[in-house]
Amino acid sequence: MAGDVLIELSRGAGSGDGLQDTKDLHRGRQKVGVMLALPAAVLVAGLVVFPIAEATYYSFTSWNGQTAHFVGLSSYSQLLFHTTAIGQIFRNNLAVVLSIPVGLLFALIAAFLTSLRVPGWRPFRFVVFLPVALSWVVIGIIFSNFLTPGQGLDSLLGALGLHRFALDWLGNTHTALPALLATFNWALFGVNTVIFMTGLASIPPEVVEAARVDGAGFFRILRHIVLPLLGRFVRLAFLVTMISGFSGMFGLIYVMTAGGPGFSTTTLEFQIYQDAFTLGNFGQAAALGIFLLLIMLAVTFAINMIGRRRAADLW
Amino acid sequence: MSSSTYEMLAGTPSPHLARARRRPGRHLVASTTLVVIGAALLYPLVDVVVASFRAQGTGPFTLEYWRAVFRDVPVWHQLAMSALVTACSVAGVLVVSVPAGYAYAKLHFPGARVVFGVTVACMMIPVESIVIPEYSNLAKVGLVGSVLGTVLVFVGLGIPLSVFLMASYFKSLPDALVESGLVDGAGHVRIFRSVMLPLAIPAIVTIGVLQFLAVWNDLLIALLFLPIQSQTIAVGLASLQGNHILNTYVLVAGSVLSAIPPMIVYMMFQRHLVAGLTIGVHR
Repeated sequence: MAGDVLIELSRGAGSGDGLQDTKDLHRGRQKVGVMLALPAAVLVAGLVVFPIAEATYYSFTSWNGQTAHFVGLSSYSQLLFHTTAIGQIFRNNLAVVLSIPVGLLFALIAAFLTSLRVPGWRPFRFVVFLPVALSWVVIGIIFSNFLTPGQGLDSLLGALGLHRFALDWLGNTHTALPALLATFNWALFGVNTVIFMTGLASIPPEVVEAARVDGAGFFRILRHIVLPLLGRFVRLAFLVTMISGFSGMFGLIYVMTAGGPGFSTTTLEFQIYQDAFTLGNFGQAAALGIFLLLIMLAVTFAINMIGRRRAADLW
Repeated sequence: MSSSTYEMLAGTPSPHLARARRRPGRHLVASTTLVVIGAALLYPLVDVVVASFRAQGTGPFTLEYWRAVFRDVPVWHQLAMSALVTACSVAGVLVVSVPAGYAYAKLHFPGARVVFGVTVACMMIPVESIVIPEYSNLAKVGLVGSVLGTVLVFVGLGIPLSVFLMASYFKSLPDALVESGLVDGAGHVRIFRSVMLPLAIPAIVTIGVLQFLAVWNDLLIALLFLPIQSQTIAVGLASLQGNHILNTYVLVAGSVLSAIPPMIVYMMFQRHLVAGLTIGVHR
């Protein structure tokens, strides 16, 4: 939902059309406004904004939880140039991003079919959206079992006569990441399908009707009206999935692979946990956390820019 | 978003697309494709759950793993912890976020834009980036290893999204409601409580459900901030993964058990969740 954040921010959030009150009421309104907003603002300041400021500070120190010495950018240079697996970790994060369009394409197809209102669309929506209720831990435990040699997937492949694909999916450095990403996209398939269904439902009927009157066929309508109007929903789906993959997948990795074998499924997010809580290297973990935040902000910003330019071209 | 748009977003597929082609053969193809996709998605779940009722996953029917969950894992205690932490966090988030969302949407006070902007920007922050200083701050005031500390962290992390969604919703309600309240002589607090709050119930349910799922399903925060001997069910299960004494199907049984409360919530509030996904998408 971060897409909305920037959209919202750039539009001057919290404003809107002001109420035209008399002066007295005006003052009363402001007082009540501050009163109602204050508790949330204080909690966010203390529990989110202040810690992020601290994390930024600690990222310039060698902090072990007790003492912090200022070390400048050394945590960052250590991180970028002297961490054994940093290349691998970045490649893993890139793989997360690259897997998203594949997942989105399937979700788009499913949403389109659902929007045709064919019999059975309701139960279908119920089934695909269901993983929303499941935790990464539960999903991880289920899929670890499913992918264990001799269990679910193996038996299925065996039954289909595809014995040669019966692998130790999670135990092999080449297949662990693809298996993890398939599970990840499985889990978010329903969310994306529902986002696209909403997008399809939001297209004004008159526009489609007008095009049809003008003689446009089914595929022309799809290509020139439906897909362009879905733009902001594609952006939302991409961002929701990416944020989840960069900073919400911890539980899945923890349960399925613990980052291994080797570093083959370690992402930035998982490395922060490792640095901080298994290695006790808080300074470096903080640096990595700031780094991850910057990457996410940059990608969000870039996607909003792309979306905006496209929209401008259209009008 | 007006409440009728809200209903619409709750997921009725577009009728005009449905009208695009109406041939019986096409419906059959589309329906079949949906059934195939749905079955493929469900297969891993069903397969593993069925296996938890069979000896070693492939043998004859047995209830052994399900009995073992209750015997060898403190699931009742863990479920109770999950329920306690989740209930307090949801209540906490609602109590502060709903009024704040209203204040940002309708009561333009000085500084509202900036504070709202900062709050909303906090939605982007990965938990991992702040969890370490958070831990040391709470440790200083003795709140690590307590339910109160854990709930505080969940509330802090839950506020940004909730305030954003509530503000979007309140913005969609007409200003005329506030004005006519003022004309009738009601104060702003009274208008919020008696006019706006009842109208916002669908959105309040949405953020409550989102928060419920986030807290119930969380791993990292509970793992760090709750005492080891009284953990939530999610952490309890995760820490048993890779434990070779315990049969893996005991874990599966535990997972299914832990998923029952969120599944019930999902079944009851599916519509609200669907709406919540896109409540913030503006035209």
